[in-house]
Amino acid sequence: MEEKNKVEKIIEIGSLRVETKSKVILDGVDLNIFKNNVNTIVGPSGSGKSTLLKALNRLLDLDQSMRISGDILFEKRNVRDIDPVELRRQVGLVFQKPNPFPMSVYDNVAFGLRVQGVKLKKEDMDRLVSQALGDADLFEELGGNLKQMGTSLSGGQQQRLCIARALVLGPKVLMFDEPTSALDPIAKGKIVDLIRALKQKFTVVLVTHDMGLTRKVSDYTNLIYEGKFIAKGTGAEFFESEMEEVKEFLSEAD
Amino acid sequence: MKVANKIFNFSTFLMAIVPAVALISIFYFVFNESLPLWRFSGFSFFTTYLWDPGFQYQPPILVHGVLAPPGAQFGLDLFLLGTISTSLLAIIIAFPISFLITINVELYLPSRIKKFMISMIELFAGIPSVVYGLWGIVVLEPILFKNVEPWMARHLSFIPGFGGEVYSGAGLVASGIILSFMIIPIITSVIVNSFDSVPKEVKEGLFSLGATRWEVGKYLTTRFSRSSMVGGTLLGLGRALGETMAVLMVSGAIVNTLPTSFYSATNTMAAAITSLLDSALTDSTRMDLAALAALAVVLMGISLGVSLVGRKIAGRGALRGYESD
Repeated sequence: MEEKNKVEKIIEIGSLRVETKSKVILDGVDLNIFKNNVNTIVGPSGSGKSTLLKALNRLLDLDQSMRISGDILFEKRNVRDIDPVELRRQVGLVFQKPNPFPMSVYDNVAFGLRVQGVKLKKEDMDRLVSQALGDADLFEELGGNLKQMGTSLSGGQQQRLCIARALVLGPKVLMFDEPTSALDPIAKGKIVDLIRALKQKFTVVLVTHDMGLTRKVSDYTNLIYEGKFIAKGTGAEFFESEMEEVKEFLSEAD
Repeated sequence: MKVANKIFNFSTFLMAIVPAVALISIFYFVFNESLPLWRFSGFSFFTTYLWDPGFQYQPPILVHGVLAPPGAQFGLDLFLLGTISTSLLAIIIAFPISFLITINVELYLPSRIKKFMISMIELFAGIPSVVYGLWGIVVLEPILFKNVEPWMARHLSFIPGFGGEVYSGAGLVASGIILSFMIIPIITSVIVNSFDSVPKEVKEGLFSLGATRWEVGKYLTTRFSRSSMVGGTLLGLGRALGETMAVLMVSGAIVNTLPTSFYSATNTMAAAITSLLDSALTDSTRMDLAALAALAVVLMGISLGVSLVGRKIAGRGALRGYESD
């Protein structure tokens, strides 16, 4: 526990409650996201994990049926006071199902920069796009052919393209929502390696119910169950927890 | 049991071919009825605009081997011009409105209000056209005649066709506006469907990269919904070309007088068939009826063609190149 206090918190969530008219999705969640670590949020399907991620980059605001209360601080600032476009640039999100846009690989990666009105010279744009694709471990695999359609890539490549698309904006936090569940084992292995590499430069938030993946990459693990925050622990600590809920969840997940 | 099966199979087959048989037979009978006109008028049917049933109480005369009342002549240009101009005006008004409704409903409104709005738009499509026509006569025409058209004639007279006298509210403008009301639901529902068919992940992906609602709308429009917008517009155009009652009521239904300005009365092929049918039935040579049947053939050809192309383009789907995953 001593060591944990030295690590900087980049996101602090306090009493976060999200509900619709008919049901409560998150019921008072308190948890912290630690800088340059892989922060994993585990829990059974339907426990509110994805909703939590969408609350962090204010994607949830787009759905007017959601009522959100509580505080989310990003670098000590309340996310409600940050322009959503700026926030989403700094807190990138990679979805469960790869969602490349039906345009070339190059345009997919450049999309975020263009839509945010970043004006760059052709060489600078080329450099940023190649660098992001390189960081996402995709550049060499494509053999420099960035003109092919993003939608024509394999599932694993599409997912890394979506990672590159988020990386090019220079985010501080990169969130992954079940990034490997739609992928085959080899493609999955590449994403695992990539997540490990990415935490050197970025803070990673990973939502998953895959305990194998959690064991491999997680530095801090948080369990959410039926919308409530239940338990947390560092990588090894979490798996040896004596808490009933953790034991039960682990036995069901494995 | 087996006999029952056979009867059932046969009757479903019979019912299944009814639409195709009906379409072909309607076209055949209408075309058949129009045959004398083609012999009588030939190509001049397409190149003239005067429509005169002739002297029906004098002995008929023989022209190109067919009997017709003396003095009869038939040209569809006035009606064709009216059909095209009212429909185009309707599209010019309806398309931007439909587009903005879609963007608003899809990207700005909460989902509960969205459902309400869409059902309202669908209800709009269910209003009988005669009701639109009545509204056009009672409400729209006086406004156009007293306020809108005189103002336009004064201030827009520098545009060719936009100057001149305003004689009444009936005509091209009223027809175009009424038609646009009738086709907005059609165009809107096609574009809304194409927006809805874009996967949620793609929309959220766009937002999560920092796109604003307007940018997402612009992107969905240009990348996903282009063909639906063209197709939906053509479907609306198909409807506008064939619309009869409402246009008949507000067009002014002129014959033999070409429009001189934007505010002139007009007439369309569909409206002309309805309004001229009564007198045509009294023509013992049936030439007058043949002329109206010929109008019907041309109208049917144009609106079927437009609808077919529209359906084909709209059905191409929003997601080409996206199903691959």
